[in-house]
This record gives sequence, C-alpha cells and structure tokens, in this order.
Amino acid sequence: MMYRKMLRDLRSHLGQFITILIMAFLAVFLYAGLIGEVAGVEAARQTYHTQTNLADGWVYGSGYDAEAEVSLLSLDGISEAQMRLELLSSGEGETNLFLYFQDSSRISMPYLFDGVAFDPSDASGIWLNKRFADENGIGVGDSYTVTVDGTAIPLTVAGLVWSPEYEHYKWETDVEADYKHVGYGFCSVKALPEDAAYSYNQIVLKTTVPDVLSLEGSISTALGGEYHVFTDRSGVKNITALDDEINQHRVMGGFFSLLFLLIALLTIVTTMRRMVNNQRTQIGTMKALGVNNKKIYWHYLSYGFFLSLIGAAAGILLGPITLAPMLFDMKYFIDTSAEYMLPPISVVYPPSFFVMGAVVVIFCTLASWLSCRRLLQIIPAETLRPAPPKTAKPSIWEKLPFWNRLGFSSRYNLRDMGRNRLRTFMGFTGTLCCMALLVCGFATKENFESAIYDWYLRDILGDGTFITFEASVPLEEAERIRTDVDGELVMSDTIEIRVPGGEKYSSHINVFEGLGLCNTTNVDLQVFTLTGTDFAVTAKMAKTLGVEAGDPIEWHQYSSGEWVTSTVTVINRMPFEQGITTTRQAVEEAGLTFSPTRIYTREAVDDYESEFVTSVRPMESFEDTFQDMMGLLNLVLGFLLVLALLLSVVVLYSLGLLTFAEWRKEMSTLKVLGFKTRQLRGLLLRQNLWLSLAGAVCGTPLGLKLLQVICDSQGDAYDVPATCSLFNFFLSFAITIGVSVVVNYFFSNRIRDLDMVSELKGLE
Amino acid sequence: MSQVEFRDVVKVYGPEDNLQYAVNHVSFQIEQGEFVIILGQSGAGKSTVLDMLGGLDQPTEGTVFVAGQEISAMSDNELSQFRAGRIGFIFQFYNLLPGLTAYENVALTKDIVKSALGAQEMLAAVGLLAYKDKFPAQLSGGEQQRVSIARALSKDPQIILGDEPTGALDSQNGVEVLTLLHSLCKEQGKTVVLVTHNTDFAKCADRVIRMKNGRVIEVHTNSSPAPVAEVEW
Repeated sequence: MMYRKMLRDLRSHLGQFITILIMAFLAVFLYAGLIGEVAGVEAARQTYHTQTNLADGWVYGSGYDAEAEVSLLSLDGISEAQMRLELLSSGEGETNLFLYFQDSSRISMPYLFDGVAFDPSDASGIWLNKRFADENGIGVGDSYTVTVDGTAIPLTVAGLVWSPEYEHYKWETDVEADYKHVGYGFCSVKALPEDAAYSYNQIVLKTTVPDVLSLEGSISTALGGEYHVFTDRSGVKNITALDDEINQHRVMGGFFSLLFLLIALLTIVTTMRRMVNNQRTQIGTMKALGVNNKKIYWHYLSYGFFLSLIGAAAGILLGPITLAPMLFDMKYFIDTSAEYMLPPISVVYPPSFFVMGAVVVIFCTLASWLSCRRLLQIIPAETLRPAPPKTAKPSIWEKLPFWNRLGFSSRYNLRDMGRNRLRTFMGFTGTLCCMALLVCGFATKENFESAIYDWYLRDILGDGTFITFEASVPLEEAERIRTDVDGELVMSDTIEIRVPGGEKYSSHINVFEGLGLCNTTNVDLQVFTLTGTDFAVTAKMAKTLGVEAGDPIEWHQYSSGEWVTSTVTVINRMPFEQGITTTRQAVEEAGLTFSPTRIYTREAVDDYESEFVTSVRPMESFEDTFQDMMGLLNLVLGFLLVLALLLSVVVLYSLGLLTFAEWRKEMSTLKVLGFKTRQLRGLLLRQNLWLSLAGAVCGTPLGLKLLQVICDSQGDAYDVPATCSLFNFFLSFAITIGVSVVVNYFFSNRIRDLDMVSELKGLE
Repeated sequence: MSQVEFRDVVKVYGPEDNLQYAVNHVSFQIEQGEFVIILGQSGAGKSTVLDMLGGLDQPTEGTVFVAGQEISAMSDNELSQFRAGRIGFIFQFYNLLPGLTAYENVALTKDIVKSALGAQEMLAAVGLLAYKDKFPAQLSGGEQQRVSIARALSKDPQIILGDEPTGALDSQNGVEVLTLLHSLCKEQGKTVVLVTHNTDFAKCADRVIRMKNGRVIEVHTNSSPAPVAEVEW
C-alpha cells in the first residue's frame, strides 16, 4: 500500500518529480555520454595503436644509416627501431604534403582503407592519406605527382591510408585542420630520384620501458650525440591534440554531471520538504497506526531512490549509445565532418559509469533523507497536530543601522531569509549557477570569435596572402619573390625550448623580418612589430618556463641539435602556437640560417609562378577553416543557454513553491488582514529578486572561472582570454533576472487562489 | 490487573523557567471491555492523556501500563510494535491517507500487522463496501470516519482510542459512529476510550474521567449507562 501511496504522490507532484527524474537522468546521461565517448576513443585508440604498432619514441636528426639502427636496437629498453626520411613536399594543386620515405614498415604502419598494403619496395607507388585524397577527389590507381625539393616525382596512388601519428594535424598557420590543402603520404625510398643524396632523418622506436624519455642518455651515447630531438608521444602534436580534446570532454563530463546532480538535489530537497511538510498529519497517522520509523523513512527515501535509480539507469543505458556515438560522428568518423582520424569506435561501459550512477542515487536518497529527517524525529502526538509556527528570533539583519527605516516587506523577507537559510542558499545557488553558465556561454563565443577574427586575423595578420615555399627554396629566390610581391619573409619551425638546465618543451618559432607586415601583440593585446634583435616568448610559454623579460632561454630547431641561448626581450601574446617570435636579425646574429617557409603580403596575389612556390592562399581561405570551430562554439553556447535556463527555471520554481508552501498560512492571514494579492506577490517577488541579484553578481566571476577551465582544457597551444564584455554581462544579467521575475509571476498566481478558510483551519 | 493504568503521570512542555503542565499528576485505571469517556474543556489535558495511552507520547514523570506492559519505558520501536498490535486510533478529522482509496487505507494495516483482518470484511462491517474504491475526498465526513474505524478494527486491537471521533460530524453521522464504537465494546469486548468535550457522552459511558487544567477532577463509574441514541448533539 505504501508503494501505491508513493505512486499516487508521484502523480500529484508530477512536474517536480519528473524534473528530479530528468535531472538525475541528465547527470548520468551526460557523464556516460561524454565519458563513454572518452572511454570509447581511448579503447579504439589503444586498438589502433596496437594494430599499427605506433612508435613510442622518435629520434630526429640527419644522416642515419643501418649502423645507427643497429646501435639503438642493442640498447636495453628498445625492442624495435626503424629509420625513415620525412620530407616536406608539395602535391598537385595548392597542397602541401608530409612525405615519409621508408625501406620497411614495422613501426607506425599505415592503416589501410583502400588499395594494397604499403609496400616499401614499390618504387612507383604512393600511399596517400585517405582524408586528403577524399577532399581532393583522388582514388587508388590515379597518377599523382609530388614535388620534392623542386623535383617532380610521378607516382601512382597504390593505397589510401591513415597514420597513427596523424590523428589530427594542421599546417602551422592554420587554426583548425585543413585536410584539403595539407596531407601526408608514404613512399618507398626507391621512389626518390637515384641521383638525390638523401639520408634518413628520423628513427622511430618501440620501447619496453614506461618512461621512454629516460632512454635519452643511452640513445645519445649510442648515436654519438648525433641527434637533434628525442621525444615520446607527449611531444608529437598530432597525437597530443586528441589527448587535449579527450581531457576537455572529461572535464566537461564531470562538470555538467555535477551541475545536473546539484539541480536534482536541490529539486529533491525542495520537493520532499514541501511534500513531507504537507503530509505531516499523514506521517503522524502512520505512526499512530503502528508503522515503524524505519518503514516511514524508507517510504520517503524511496521517492528520491527510485526516481534517481530510474534516471541513472536510463542515463547509463542511453548515454553511451546516443550521446557518445553522436560525438563520435561529429569528431572522429571517416566522413568529411570528422575532426580526428580514428577507426570506428565502439561503445564501452567503464566501471566509472556505474560508480557515477550509484553516486547520483546515493546523493538523491540522502537528499530525501535530509528533507524528512527532522519531521520523522518528532514524536507521533506532535506530528498529528498542525506544525507550530517557526520560532522567531532577532535576525542578524536587525543590527543594520537602517533596519528601522525598512518597510514591512523588506523586514519580513530579511527575517524569512534568516530563518530559512537552506531555502535562501538554494535560491542564491540556483541563480548563481544560471548566471555563471550564461556568462560562460556568451563569453566563450565572444572570446573565441574575438581571438580568431579580431586578434589573429585582423590585428596580427591583417588582410593578406600567404605564399608558401618549398623547403629547398634558396634565400635569394625567396627574397626576390618577397620584393616582387612587396611582402615579408617568415620562417616557421618546430623547436625544443627550455630554461638553462630545465625541462624541455616542444614548441614553435616564428621569425619575421621586422618589415611591419607581420606583427604580434603585447600582453595587453596591443599590436606591435618586432624589430632589431627582439626576442619574444609568448605569455603562456613564459609561464610554463617561469621566465620573464631579461631571462635567458635555450632553444633549438628540430632540424638541428645545436642549442642556442637567447635573452627574452619581451613577453608577447598569440592566440595560437605558443613559443618564440623573433626577428631575422636575431636568428642570424645567433649564427643560425634564416630559412623562410613563406611570404606574407598585403598585395592581392592569386597565383605565383615559381618552382619553389607550393601554394598561394588568401586569408579568406583560412577563415573557412574556422567555420567548423564556430559551429561547435554555437553548439556549446546553445547547450549552455538551455542548461542555464533549465537550471534557473527549475530551481526558482521549486524554490517559489517551497516558499509558498511555507508561507501559505501567513499569506492567508495577511490576506484576511486586507493585503491585496498584488502586494503579496510583491512580497514573494522581492525575496526572489534579492537572491537573483546576489546570485547574478556572484555568478559572474564563477562563469569566468568556468570559461578559464574550458580555455585551459583546449590545450597548451591556445591562449584565449577569459573575459566578459559589459554587453554580455548585462545580457546574462537581464536573462537571469528576467527568468526570476517570470517564474515568480507564474507561481504567485497561487496567491490569488489561496483558500484562506482551509489554510487558517490548518486543514491538509 | 487493570488493562490500563496511569500512575502519577505528569507531562510538561516549555522551557524550564516556564513549565506548562499539560497533565499534572494523573492516576486512573481502565478495565478491559469498558467504554470510557474522558471529558474536559480545551486545554484540560485529555488529548495528551490519550496520546500517552496510545504510545504516541511519553510522560515526563510517572508510569503508564497497558495490558501489564509499562509502555512509558518503551523504545520508539517497541512503541511502534505496541501501537501496531494493540491500539486502534480514530481521529477527529479521520486522518485517512488521501492518496489511497478506502479499501487501500484499510488494507494498509496488512503492511503493518501480518494478522490484520481482511479490508473487505472490515468495510462491509461498517457498511461501506460499495465505496471501497473511492478516495477519501470522494466520501462524506461520516463515511470517512467509518473507514477510519474499519482501519482501526482491521488490526483487531484490544483498545480503541478516539480523539473527538464525532467532533467533525453532524448529529446523524455522530450517532452512527458512536453506536458503532459502543457496539464494538459491548459485542466484541474491546476497550474503547474516547476523548470529548460533549458532556452528554457521559450518559452512555461505563466510566467517565473528568479533567481540568491537566488534573483528573473526577472518575465516575456509571452503573447503568444509557443507550447511545439518548445522547444529545
């Protein structure tokens, strides 16, 4: 019979209980969906890496031969080694290709989609990245010519593949991946011109030790110091990009689950408190009939227990099979919208799903218990009588110097808030979270858009065109073209950076000529041109290294093992690619070769005829690559908006109901005394407005903190400010307060229909 | 031994410096099968006495014995068992669970006492079988009180306690309810203790306990109780 009572109670408080069910569901659903995606990706990745025998370590250098391979294989901790030659080349059309020339394929093997498996002895074949091939309409059997150091090599596409080292990749100047213009491929070393004097510049390794970097000393000895960089997977950006993405989803999964759990708990507390208070006499009756306390406790706990159990079970069941695959489709699948390249991902159910489900159920049950605990401890005889009015004590507010000047409504609300701290806290927390989500949502969109369009494209780059060179372009030829198009030469490269004697980080260098076309921004985001021997380190990298202007740092290009010491002259900020920005003069004075990789010009250049130019790309083509990112940001904003409004409506409505339930008798008395419905509405509204105002003010820094977490979880390459414009602050504020007023208006309609006689007689 | 015995029972409320005596050194006895009325004005302490008799409340001082058991020394769990097994409560405002039908309200006792009597029979006994699927809100006050009596009876209690059981009823329903309770006492040997402020009820009681300001001012045994029909409303 108690279960029947429960079902009928559920029906009579359907809205509230459905809210609890939905919130418990969403808490687990989002967790299971996002973490399910993470777990699915990690499982698929593990399989993918095992299948392709992804390398554990990479040695970058030059002039390697079989002897180097053998000496590395003789080291303890190294189980496999394979040499290869990586060359930056150009493909057909305005495309750039990372080409790997190998004589074997044992480590980081190409993952075949179409055609035949990679054959290192096939001198005429090329195995192209499938995504690049799809974007450019290239198929197996097609003729395809690549240009390496100015020499055209005609080949036939023998297979379409992926590389586990290229889960995500992009050209150095791109903000987002552009798979149409940038690709990679595999060829036999026999495909290289016979007269070309190439030697291997990379050795990939499989190791048997967990700390791969601990092998650097012995590798250095084995190679006689002849290497530039030794890194593990954490130093390969094309692999770590997915690590950052996974981490971001993990953070979001945890955060949103926590948020929905919080809403569920708040709703349970308000609903159960209201219900238990309304059923005071029923509880007394049950006690009088002989129902023991344990049974009554279980009866009221079961509301929270069963609802959260159903919600959590549905979340565990549906999250991994709906949300996770949706994210898989958006980000990882083979189709053209995919951001990352991974083989099909299966749904997995890690134990943490069930732990999360159990946590939600336990907390919801606990919230039910907290809601009815006090009433169930009262002796039965007292429970059978109507609840006595709350004991009034002077509140802290009464010490305010202007207390005596406050009107009835203000005094009434202040005293009520003092007596009902939990309810006050709930109202404050609800609006605080709503405001935080709105600020975060609007500011995320604003900051990323601003970082991309205003900061990067307008302030730093300006409208212009990039002309990209072959790696082998002679400096004189580059300077000639620069003069021809009235541009500025830029050298970009991957580097390792450290403070003297400190930890090494993989980073990036941009070298400008200081002609005023290529700029950067200072820490206040004001544009300036590097001149003379200026040597700038981006603020985020400076923070990582712990350096400031005037400090020395050491760095070297991946193509050279020679460490250079430079003094930081200025700290700059760049939205993408954290590292060093310096001048040609500074590089040349350090004894290094200035090897331009592209020209930047403000002239309108559509095409440029030169054997050393691989592509000419106007800035608009870069903007296209941001569209996916903007689409995703709009999705995030929409999601946060819905979440904020849901949170606000649910919490404020529940709170209003609870306040109203507790004020019914007093409202009736005031109504009998002659207060008008409008005045009583104002009384209720005032408290909600106060709490909403306080929540909105305090929610702003929380929203910015949340934004900072989202920005940080983007990875080390990004430096997007976490700020909120006044417009977005006021917009968020207006929405929060607006929702508060509207919600208050709707439930305050109940004042009009209040049955004064029943209330004052204490009838349930 | 008497079925109910109050020995020098005191019940106080409020802070130590301002104690309010709801029941002030009360002693009386009730025998099995008696029809007892506790009379008194509002605030006399009669409901508090009834609550302590039914194990809903505990005395501040003194002892309460029911069927030889000292219920004033029982734990919360023991009191629940005591109420479940021995006491049937009837309230002024019926206190039916609004979410359950008439049948379910009576059948609820099956969840409490395994040996509870059938809900159908109990509803039939109070003449409400036809209304078994109605919710309390669909029944009149008298009908609700009869369901409440059926619920109390279904546990087959030794003692039936009623706190103003006819207080919310009109005269016709009041007579019906009182007749029903009287017949239970006389035909089934149940001890019935009713609290009321209607002095006319005293006519039909075997024993009348008059209270004032928390004290028993008179315990009167009625050698020839009048029929319920003679009670004036």
